[in-house]
Amino acid sequence: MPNTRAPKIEVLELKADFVKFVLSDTDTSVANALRRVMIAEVPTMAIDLVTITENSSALQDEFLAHRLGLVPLRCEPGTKFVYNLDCDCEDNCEQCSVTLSLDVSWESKAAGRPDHEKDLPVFVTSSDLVSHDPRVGPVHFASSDIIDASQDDGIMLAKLSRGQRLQLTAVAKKGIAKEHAKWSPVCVATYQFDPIIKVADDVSATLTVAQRQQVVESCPVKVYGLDERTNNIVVRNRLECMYCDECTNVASSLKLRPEDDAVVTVTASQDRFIFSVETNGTIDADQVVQQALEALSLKLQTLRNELINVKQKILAAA
Amino acid sequence: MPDSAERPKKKHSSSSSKSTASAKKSKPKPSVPRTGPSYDISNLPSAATAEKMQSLVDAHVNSFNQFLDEGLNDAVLDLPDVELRVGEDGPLMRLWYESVELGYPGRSRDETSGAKLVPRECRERNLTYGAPIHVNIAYQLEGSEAQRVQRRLGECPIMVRSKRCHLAGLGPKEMVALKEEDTEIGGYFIVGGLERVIRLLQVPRRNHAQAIRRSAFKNRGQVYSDLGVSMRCDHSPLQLGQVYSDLGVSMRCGRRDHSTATVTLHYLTTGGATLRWSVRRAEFLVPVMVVIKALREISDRELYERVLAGDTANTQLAARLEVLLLDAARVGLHTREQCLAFLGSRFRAVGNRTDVHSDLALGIEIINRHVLVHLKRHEDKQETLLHMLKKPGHLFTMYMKEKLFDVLVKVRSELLKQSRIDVAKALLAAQDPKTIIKLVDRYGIGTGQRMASFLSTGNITTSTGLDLMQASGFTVVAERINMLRYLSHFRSVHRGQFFTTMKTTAVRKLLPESWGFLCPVHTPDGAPCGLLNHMAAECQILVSLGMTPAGIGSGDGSTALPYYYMPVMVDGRVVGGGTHETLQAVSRGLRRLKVATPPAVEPTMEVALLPPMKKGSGPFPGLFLFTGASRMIRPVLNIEFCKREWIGPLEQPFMEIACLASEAKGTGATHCEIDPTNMLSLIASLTPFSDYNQSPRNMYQCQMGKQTMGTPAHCLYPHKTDNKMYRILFPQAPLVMTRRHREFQMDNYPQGTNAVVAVISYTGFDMEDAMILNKSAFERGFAHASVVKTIKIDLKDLLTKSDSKTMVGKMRFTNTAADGKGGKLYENLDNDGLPRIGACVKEGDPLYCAIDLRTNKTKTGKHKESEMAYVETVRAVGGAGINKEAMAKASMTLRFPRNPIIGDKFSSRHGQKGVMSILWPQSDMPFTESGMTPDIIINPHAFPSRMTIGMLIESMAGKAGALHGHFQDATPFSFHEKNRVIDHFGEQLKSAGYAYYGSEPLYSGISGTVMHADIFIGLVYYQRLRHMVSDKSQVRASGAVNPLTRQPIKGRKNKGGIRFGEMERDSLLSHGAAFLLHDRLMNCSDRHLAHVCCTCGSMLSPCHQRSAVTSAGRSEEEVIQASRCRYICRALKTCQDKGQIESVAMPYVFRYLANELAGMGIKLTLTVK
Repeated sequence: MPNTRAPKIEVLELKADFVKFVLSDTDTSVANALRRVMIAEVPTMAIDLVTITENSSALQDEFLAHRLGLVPLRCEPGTKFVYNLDCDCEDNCEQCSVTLSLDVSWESKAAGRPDHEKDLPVFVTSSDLVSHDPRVGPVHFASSDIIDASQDDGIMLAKLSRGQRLQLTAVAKKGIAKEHAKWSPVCVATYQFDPIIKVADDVSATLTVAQRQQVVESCPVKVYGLDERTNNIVVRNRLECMYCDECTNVASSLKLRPEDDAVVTVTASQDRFIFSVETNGTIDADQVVQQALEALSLKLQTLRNELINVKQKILAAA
Repeated sequence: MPDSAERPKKKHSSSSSKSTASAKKSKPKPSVPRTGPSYDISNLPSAATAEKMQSLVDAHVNSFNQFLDEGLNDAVLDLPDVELRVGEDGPLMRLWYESVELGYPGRSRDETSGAKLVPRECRERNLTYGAPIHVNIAYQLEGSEAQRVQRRLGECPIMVRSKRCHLAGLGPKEMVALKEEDTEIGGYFIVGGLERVIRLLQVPRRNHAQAIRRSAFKNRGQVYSDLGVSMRCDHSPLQLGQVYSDLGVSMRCGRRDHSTATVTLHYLTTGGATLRWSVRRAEFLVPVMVVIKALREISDRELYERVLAGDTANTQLAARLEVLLLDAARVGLHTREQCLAFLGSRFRAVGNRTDVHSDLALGIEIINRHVLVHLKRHEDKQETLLHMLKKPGHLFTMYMKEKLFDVLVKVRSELLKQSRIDVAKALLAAQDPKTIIKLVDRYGIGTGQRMASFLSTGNITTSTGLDLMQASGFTVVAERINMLRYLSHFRSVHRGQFFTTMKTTAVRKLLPESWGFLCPVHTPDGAPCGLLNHMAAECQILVSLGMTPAGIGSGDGSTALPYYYMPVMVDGRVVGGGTHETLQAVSRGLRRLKVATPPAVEPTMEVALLPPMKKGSGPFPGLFLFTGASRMIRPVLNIEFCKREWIGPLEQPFMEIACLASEAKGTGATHCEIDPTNMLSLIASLTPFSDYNQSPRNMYQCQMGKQTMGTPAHCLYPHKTDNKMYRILFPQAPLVMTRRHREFQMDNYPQGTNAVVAVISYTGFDMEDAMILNKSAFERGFAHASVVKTIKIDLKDLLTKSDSKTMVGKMRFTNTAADGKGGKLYENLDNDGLPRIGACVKEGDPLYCAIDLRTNKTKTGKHKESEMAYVETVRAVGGAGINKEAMAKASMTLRFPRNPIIGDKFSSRHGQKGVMSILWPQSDMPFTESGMTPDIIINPHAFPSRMTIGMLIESMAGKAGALHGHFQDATPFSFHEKNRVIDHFGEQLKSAGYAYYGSEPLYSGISGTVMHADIFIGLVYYQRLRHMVSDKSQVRASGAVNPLTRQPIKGRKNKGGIRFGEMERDSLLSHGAAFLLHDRLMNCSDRHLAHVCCTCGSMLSPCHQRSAVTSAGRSEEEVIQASRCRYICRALKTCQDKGQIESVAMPYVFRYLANELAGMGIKLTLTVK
């Protein structure tokens, strides 16, 4: 068959919470589908049900519950849960949910404080949430160095002053961000078209150095540079380009006649997509991409099964 | 806290220094992270901020302090004695006040015993924050010693933060300890738990003559004149001749206690003039010559020469004068004594005086009390009157004075009544202090109550009119919708209720003299436009100088000025005159003295030099000096001396004030503005880049800022019991803010969120000012809010009227039946009959349960609203002690969660409001190269016609600020053509790696392709407004009907319908939607089956054969179907026998019409086929 293409992935950068890769040999529709699934349909765990036993803090129950829901929960790789709705259990069980509890009072936290800090409020943070399942727990910074530097231990939930107490149990369930944003695994999942930036050397030669410098400086993200030796315009950071058209605007203003070629042209390639995916820590970045692809294929699978069913029904009817 | 001083203010600055971070590692980690804003427990507004906030209400608090310090006593001293004769020829008795004093608010009657009453308690318990009024009343019987009694006349409401308030002078920390707001500013009264403010009222300037031309003057009599042009300060009456005969001149005169009386001079077509003043609302017109002569012995010749002042060429004036003098001669009054006696005799009835006083004495008194009251010496009066023939606030004093006087009058009339019955007994009683005490108590005790009811209703019931133009609307509730609304109550100035009904718009105009005093932007649009103004942020109202300006000048009535001299007047008193050149030098000298350190004259003195204009135009020239109170003042920079100078509105139009110091050079400007934004009110100056917006948009923002769901208070739930408060749950400090926002620390009361806004037409859901909200942003807490309502329960209201007032042993809250068996009556209530804190109440759930101890019946109060609420606070607010009324009153605060739903209203700070039309999923939202999706999408059509360029600039500034991590200054008038605002923020954007003008290529979230045009996207501070669909949605299928017409009733409260009116009917008709029309107008309205006699055509005469008893309780249809009985027509014999009855469906109003017509003797017949 002509034009058969096998989409390829080329990883540019990979960290626990960030991945940058190039998806090539495919169409915008596929790239966008992948992006949309990563944002909205990769399942994660998030607190969904909160039972408050005591809340004498300044914050209201429903406000606290909402905050708790937004706390990202880290799932160890390979942990599988079923959706609460699909589970056989009555309310919730270990198969479909994780129970977390929290019990903080001012007295318990402020006990060991030096005198001058005695009257300060204590902070209830996500690190006070105790998970009953070792595989799932509140997301924390990746390394202890960062924790020390940030002087922070967890996501602030509430502050308690003398005599106040917060006691609750929370049930985390599996879900997808289509239902509520708290289940979204990503902070950013986006792509951009791979820019094709061409510098017309022949036109460049007609420009003065000052004019070339003008083109170079027009770019806010410093895509261009001047070659030290030849003083020609060269492309330094191609991937930084964000199609702001500042350089092309300058280039066209430098034209002597309107029909002349511009010194630089920026076009977007139609089959190469640079993806950036940053997670909020619930699952690793590569996992997000993998699970998104799985979700996509599951969708296609379902579609295929449906089609088969329909065909059989039609055949049976005939 | 040893290291609190060096605590870094912002997060990024702490992390920037690596060396400190490594040093910290060796030290043990502090138990509280230092970056947390709560690290410092004393995280309270600084004293400077508190002071700044306090300055907003200075006008109110200082005015009340003045009332406490001087006003009250001055008022009492000004009250005339009350006299009566005990019996026909009995001894004369006099009654008067020696002194009046207010105590401190206390919980018990005995204020020395301690138990302070604090404002917080009053608010929570619906009490009035008041202090006792102590009066010393003296009385004297003719021929005997004066006796004194000390009494207490009830409790007068006390202004919070005034000198008598327990909060006076406390700092933020002490405030918090008293469970008050940290920056509690006071300035209001607490009456029945509600915070009420006395409105500032604009009234004519006191002690200044102004010419008025009013057609209504003509109606006063045949010879009175009109002509319809109003003139301000056109002519002064000294030049009688110049003043056309149609002009009246009125002068508002202030007394020491700031009560005022207006005197008006009417010119007659005959050339004469009459003076008008009013006593107890009755108006009196007196020929002016009589008054002039009564003031001082003056011969006709002297008078003539004085007025003419050497201007012999002015024949018109001379002729006028002759007429005037002739008038007086005709009455036959020549000497001063004659004139005084004449006045006295005519006013005897008005004065409430006994016959002991001669006409002469009475005449003097009349002059004293009513004519130009601001001057003590009669000579001065004449001087001014010759001159004239012009011009608030201290309403509370005035009202109190009148009420106090009323007490004396009532005591007098009671004594008089007694003496009429039995002279001897009355005489005896009059000598007995007990009688006086009894009477004073009987009539006086309500004085405090009357003050309270004045404050709670805003109505004054007065017999004198108090020289005011209105009788109601003096006070308003200080609503805490949010902080802006609250503050603006204290800064608003009303022009007067009277003007709201006026058809002419002249009074609503923005006048040059109000520049810098009243904000040109902050006024509502619509009916009160221009009448309800707000003071500019730096404008202040002078309350009192703490002194009475000493008599300046000779003022002996002998100063005769040549006609070409311009007069010099100090507070309405003529002190001399001079040529224009002399006066220019004098006024410059006075200004130097004003700004000198220490000031040689009062620094707030107004030096108004009105220059002479072409004859017959412009205001009356002269040098007018004002030192009195109730004037607006504002600071400007005196360039000559480089000092701040306070100026007033009268002098301003005649001064040269440059806007910027750079503009002042070479223009002859003597002054310049301290800051160009000083002309704006606090709220108007919070709009960022308002100088780039079309002006009406800034006006709209002033309105919408006050309707925003923000942060009304900090001690929100437990101690604020306002009826309704709105609170946003995830507020942010605006990234783009003005200088004044920082100055007043408005971040303490944030009321919005910095939202990523894309200006793009996307999906069509952003048509017609609708906006699309990112569903994920909403789910993460964008614009989440709640409404807080406090309801008050008083078991006393459940008692029947016949019950006496005490609650003891009658009712109490409980949740168990009377016999104590069967456990709880209601599951969701606690044992005490009140709900648990945090409980969720739905419609129909019980909120409280009480038992009538006499009948053992329980009563429950239900949650009436259809919305679910959480119980936030429950308070038992009865009095102290178990047996008293401790458990008879409760109040509870309910919290209604109100997260945004479709149809809720949002706005930016530029008068750009819109409703949220849909929650759009994040994955479908357009996204930028960096993967960012907008929180809000608005339509580009919102901009061209409204021209809110400020919003576009805010968007750019916000974006640049967010990228660089700093707040942006958005003070208006800080950029100009040579320092373009676009370039300023464009450069910032570019250096952060973004496009210069703030637009970016956006990808469609649905197709994933790049959009053809670059999209303008940035950060804008968005406010959520209090108008929500949940408060407005109205729908009904069936429900209550009007009993007379059987048509559905109106009103959302009554679950009524929305009118399907004529125009709606027309539209259905034109669509040919007949079924729908029939359904709406008949079936869903007042469909009725009427029985019509086919023979006679009457629909009133057919009746049912069956008795009413059997069909009782059944519907019409049921009766017809169930019974085989017949309808018969009662009209005629023929009908009865063989008449056929048909049932016809019709609107019930038609039957009603038939009945009404029958009532008038008109028969309505139907032809049934």
